[in-house]
Amino acid sequence: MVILEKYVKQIYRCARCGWCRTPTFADHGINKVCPVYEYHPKGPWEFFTARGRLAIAQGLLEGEIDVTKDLVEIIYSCTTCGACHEVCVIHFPVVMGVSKTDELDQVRVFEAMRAEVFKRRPDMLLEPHHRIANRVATQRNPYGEPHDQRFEWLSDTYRPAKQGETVYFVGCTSAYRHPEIARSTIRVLSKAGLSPAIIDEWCCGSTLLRTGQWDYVEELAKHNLEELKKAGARKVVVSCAGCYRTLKLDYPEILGSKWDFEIFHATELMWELIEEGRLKIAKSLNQKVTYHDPCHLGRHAGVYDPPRDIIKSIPGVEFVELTPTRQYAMCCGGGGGVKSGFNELALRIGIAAVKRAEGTGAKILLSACPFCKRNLVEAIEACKAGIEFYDITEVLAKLV
Amino acid sequence: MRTLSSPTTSEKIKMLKDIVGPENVVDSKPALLIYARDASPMRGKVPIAVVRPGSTEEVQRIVEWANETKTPLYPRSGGTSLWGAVPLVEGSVVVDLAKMNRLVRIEERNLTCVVEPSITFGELEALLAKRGFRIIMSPENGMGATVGGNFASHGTGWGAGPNFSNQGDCVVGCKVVLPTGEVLTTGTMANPNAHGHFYRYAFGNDLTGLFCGSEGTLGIITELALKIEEMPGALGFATFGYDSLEAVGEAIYRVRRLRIPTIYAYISTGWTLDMLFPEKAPWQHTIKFVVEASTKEILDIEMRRLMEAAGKEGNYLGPQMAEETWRERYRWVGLFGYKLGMRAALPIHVPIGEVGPYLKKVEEIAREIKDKYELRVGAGGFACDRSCVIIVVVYFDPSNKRETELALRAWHEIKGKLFDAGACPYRMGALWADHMPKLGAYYDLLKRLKKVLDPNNIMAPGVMGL
Repeated sequence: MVILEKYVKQIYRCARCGWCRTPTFADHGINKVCPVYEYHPKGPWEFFTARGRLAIAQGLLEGEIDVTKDLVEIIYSCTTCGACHEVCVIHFPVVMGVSKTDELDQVRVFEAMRAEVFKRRPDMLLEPHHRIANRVATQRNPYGEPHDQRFEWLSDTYRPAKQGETVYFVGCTSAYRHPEIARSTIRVLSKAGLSPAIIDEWCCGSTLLRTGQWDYVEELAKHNLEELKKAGARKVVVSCAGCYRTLKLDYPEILGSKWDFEIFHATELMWELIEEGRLKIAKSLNQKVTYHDPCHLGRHAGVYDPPRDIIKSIPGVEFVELTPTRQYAMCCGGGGGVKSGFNELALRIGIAAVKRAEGTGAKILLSACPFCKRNLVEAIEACKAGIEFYDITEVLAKLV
Repeated sequence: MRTLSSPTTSEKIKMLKDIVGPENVVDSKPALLIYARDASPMRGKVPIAVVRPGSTEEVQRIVEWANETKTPLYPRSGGTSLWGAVPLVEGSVVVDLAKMNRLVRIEERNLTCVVEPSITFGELEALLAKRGFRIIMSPENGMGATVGGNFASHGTGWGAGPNFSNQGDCVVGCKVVLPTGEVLTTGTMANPNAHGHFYRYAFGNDLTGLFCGSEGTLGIITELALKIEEMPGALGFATFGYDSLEAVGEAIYRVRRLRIPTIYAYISTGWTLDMLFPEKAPWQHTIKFVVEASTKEILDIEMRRLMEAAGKEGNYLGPQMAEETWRERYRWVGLFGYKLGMRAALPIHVPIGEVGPYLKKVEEIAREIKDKYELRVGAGGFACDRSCVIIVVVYFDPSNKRETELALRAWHEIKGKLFDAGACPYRMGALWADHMPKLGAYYDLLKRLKKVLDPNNIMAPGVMGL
């Protein structure tokens, strides 16, 4: 019980107040928090809420429950989006300036529960998550695509350098599933005069960290560290919100001070370039658009403004916020291993997100994460929504 | 040989699944464990299953099944109780009312609304606000607590004032599935031809009152009719500081005696504020007042009266603290309740004219507990009608087993001292069960009523000592 014990104080910090279940803070536009509680095909059950999960963590610590199939299903039916953290009664005094947000980090605890369960009963891991680990081990990506085809999306005319101060860490989803985001990122950065290097990157390990398979990640992190050092990198740009959280927040914990790169999400760097006048948006987009906050970028890493600043700077755009938004935004449903483990749940959450976006009257739903794109595009198709989805970089690539 | 009246656990679960569908029954250990806990430090017995009905009819069939199989039922809505609302006997089934959370209708001409039990106060307030209405009262944790749970535990809260002391005062009728499975509607709607819910005291005895505070022992409430009102015309705010608890008590009494229309009169004891905000210590005792009036002109008059009544022995600290606390009233629970750790809370009612002596008593107990167990004890409170709720809180770290044991011991010790001093428990659950026999004839009648209404004792056995 080594892993969970590290979080014992946090696990018992839960006040069981129920704010993670059905809160309505009209002044913050909140009427729902937990996407799993709200949209799970089994309906709203206490064990899907943060307080339920924390009671289960207490049960694990106290030896009252064993690792069973039911337990695994419950603890993996969580997108680890962290919305429960934002409304937690323990943290709301933050509003009043009297408490700290790290007293109960629900996401870390839920990830640790998975690691604990995996450590005790690796045989109980969900098959799709087991498969992901195998694929990462053999092909260095969770999709099992050949590693030597990772950069097939690159056009014949663009041959990036292998060395440079700025490296574009493409990420597995952009490389293999949404190469249009990778191409757009290169195009936008090129327009600003940047030619980022590309390294022999391996999966950042985000999917393994989120599914409790922590042991495998150090090797990936070390490889990526060596490759970045070899390239002489100082700045690393990522398209994926999952890669961003991993490189920005998890790698320093795994690698310590050796990991000393500046990590930028593409939207952060692009907004900086726009502000500096190095990137001009030449064309207009006469559309009403809204923006979905990726959990790993927003709640987990605190990046809310650059994507919005970019959108608002596009001539002709009428920007409308989703409700709820920013730190209270609802998850797309794709994260935390839910997409691979429970696709029906992921899609239900995604469809709800799409309908919220449609409800704003926007014709375009933007976000800043290829993983959100995967789930939201599928959701749009599934519910035949009258809204289009783009990654911000895709839109920018057409306008610069 | 077994008979139908004594089915096995797995047979019982199959029967429940036949009633509400398999998707509405859980029996896995991790899921069940959650339902053996509430927001108090108490631990209950892990139930054999949790069933989730979606309608009065389904509740009725579950109760009928429980009678046939002699299975104890524990209804649950918000699961936020601080007084041990957990299963107290082995082999029970928890009836999780989470799906029954709708605002059924607004009876605008009756100035009432009908809700299902698991709607939270936050949800209901937001829905009513869209129509320009509000409910009169909501508890400290209005964001997580449910209307059904608060009524069933005779809760009070923000909004309590000269005319309303308890959520029961704001309820005009309810629909209940009785322990034997019949459905009862109280108030005017006992007459099926009535124009909705508009009067509680119809047709003889106040049967609504029978279920207010019954904590699941006399049936499962499936609908409640609540009074609704227009939003207030004007609110005024004022905070006063006091050097003594006697002065606090006198101010609370004077304000109530003069019928100043407060909807919030919140006491923070100085020693509790010293613990919460040590950087600003030492603190005076404070009372934060919110006054409501239909017009600004009337509010000005009432605020002048408040200044005179509350300011007689106190110093005026301005409107800001009261205004901020009112605005953040639901979040206040996070500050008072949990900033210093988990809390074992003991809310009690004391007479409106005896607040000072009771607070002195609590202060004395807090010192004793600190000396004996090295645990911190805070106290605050708020006025409601002829009573004042004093919330005594033992702070502890639940990840520390020894400290948790001490906190539990201190909790029960304080409870005994306050009961002996004449305080009235606010909410009962399992916490006060051991004191019920001291009520003599009152307790005997409760037991007899319970026996008549629930001959098989299937509803929440053990709660309130029943």
